[in-house]
Amino acid sequence: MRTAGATPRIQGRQWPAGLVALGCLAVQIPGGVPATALALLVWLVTLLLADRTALRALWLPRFWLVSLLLASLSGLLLGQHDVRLGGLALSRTGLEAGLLMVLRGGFMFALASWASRRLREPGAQRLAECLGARSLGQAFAAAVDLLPELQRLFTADLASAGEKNARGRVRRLARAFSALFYHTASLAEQMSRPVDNVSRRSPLVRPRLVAVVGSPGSGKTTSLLALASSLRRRGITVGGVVQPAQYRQGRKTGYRLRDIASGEEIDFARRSSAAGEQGLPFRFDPAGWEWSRDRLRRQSRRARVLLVDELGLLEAGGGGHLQALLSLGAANRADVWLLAVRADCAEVLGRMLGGFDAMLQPGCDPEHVLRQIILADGGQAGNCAGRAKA
Amino acid sequence: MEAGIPTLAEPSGSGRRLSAFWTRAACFGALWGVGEVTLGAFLHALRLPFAGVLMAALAVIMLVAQRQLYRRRGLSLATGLVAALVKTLSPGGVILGPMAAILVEATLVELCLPAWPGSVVAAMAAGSLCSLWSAFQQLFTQYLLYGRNIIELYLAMLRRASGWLNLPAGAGWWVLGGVIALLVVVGTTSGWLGVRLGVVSRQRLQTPGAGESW
Repeated sequence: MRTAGATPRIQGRQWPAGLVALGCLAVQIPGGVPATALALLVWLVTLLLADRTALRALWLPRFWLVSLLLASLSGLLLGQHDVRLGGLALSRTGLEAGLLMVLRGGFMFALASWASRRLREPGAQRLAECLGARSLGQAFAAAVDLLPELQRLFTADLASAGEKNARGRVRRLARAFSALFYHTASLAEQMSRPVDNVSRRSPLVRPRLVAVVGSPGSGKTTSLLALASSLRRRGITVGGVVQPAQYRQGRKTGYRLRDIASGEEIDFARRSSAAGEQGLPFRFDPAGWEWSRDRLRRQSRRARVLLVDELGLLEAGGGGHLQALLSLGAANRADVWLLAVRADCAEVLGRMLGGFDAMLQPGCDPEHVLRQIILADGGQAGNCAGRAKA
Repeated sequence: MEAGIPTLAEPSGSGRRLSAFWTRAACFGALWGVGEVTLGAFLHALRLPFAGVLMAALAVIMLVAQRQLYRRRGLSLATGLVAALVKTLSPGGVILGPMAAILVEATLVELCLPAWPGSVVAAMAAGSLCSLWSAFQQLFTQYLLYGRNIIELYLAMLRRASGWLNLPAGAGWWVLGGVIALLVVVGTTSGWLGVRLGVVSRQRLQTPGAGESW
């Protein structure tokens, strides 16, 4: 897709022609017919010697027809009618003005044709770099490299816009345009992501989702807490809530909610004889959900890693911590969400959250997880290619 | 989108990584440039009246939406510069006019938005200016090509046409006013759509899983 292949080879160096162009431009500025005719003549001879392709580009019948028509109209409409030509009353001033318009139009068109060819040369990018706009030159090269990808997106988005009636077609086209814009923005985000994994994520990129998946009682919360300790030892700020279970005589009697950052705890759920939400044998305190939502919202602004425990049947049904997580939106600045997920709900929750980037077993080595998953390869594995579909 | 995403680590063999600013300018400049090279050339070939206004409206939507995502000064202008360079790949004849149009549109958006990047009014003003510019660019190009005589000729044609049609004096100005009002409506609509698109795209980019379906 580089420019070099798209343009015919240029004959010789073009800077003398550029100097002649400037001279001709200066000569015709006063606006008289002789000066403009001279400028046109000199420029046509220059093109004949320097760039015949640009000269050939002047063969554009529509342009010349329009110019002649304007010249004739000028003879008819401008000034006093003091000349008769074939029964038509014309104006000498108008005809002169028309001739000047044709000459000037021809000269400017020839100049634009030559300049357009110069702009197409690969040298345009080098010139931009020479002028100090090195980044612009590189950005142009990057834009050219992007064209096939954008063309693919464009084709895919438009292909999905097939509709029979006109109104529906317009609506689908608008949707395709939006999708194209969104894809370009996410492409820009992926490409501008910092190489340094430790630097902050752009606020426009979704966080990486790492799930610790296991059945009830398999040690998900313990794994999360071990990971949190390892992260803290490395100086990484951790926030979020965990939901440790309460046991009495070996029997689960309820849950408490613990704020990871402050260590604060509240009672959250108690075993109940009647089945509660989603058939669970626990009664959840509505104030607990509010407490959790508030903590998540506050800590997602400060922490690099956000922990959320016990995503299960409630969340799979659209309730529980899920709404709090989804409502974080723009406020969230955490790079990684570390989630404890019940194995039988992992598929549904993965779909709801757009896929997990990594899925771990409870009891996994925290140091290994930190090195290989949370801190490593924040670039490619983070948001696209490495996303493991649950 | 996963496969074959180009990397900007070494964009032109220089080994120097592009900044996030220029990366974004490159992506959106490529998008705009592709639109100009394909859709712009197609509309030009169809000789549709006000095709330039349509292209300008699309450009405004994209630029305004882009500024809702990234509130960086100069980004619209940088995007315009990249798009103008991409336009050089167009196989058509004279490209100076479209390139100038792209740069002027980018400059107008850049001038209107920095003070209030999220303001709908600023976006609408930018849209109106771009829309008006694209409509009068033809006249401006003709002025450059043929000199000031072309303006005198058009005014003489207007006077003569008014005389033939027995229109009251000043009727031409009313028609001109109507056209300008229509262009302003198109421009403000595109500015408003740009803000909407930017806000929706921002939400989708920030919400896990939401960007996958449209």
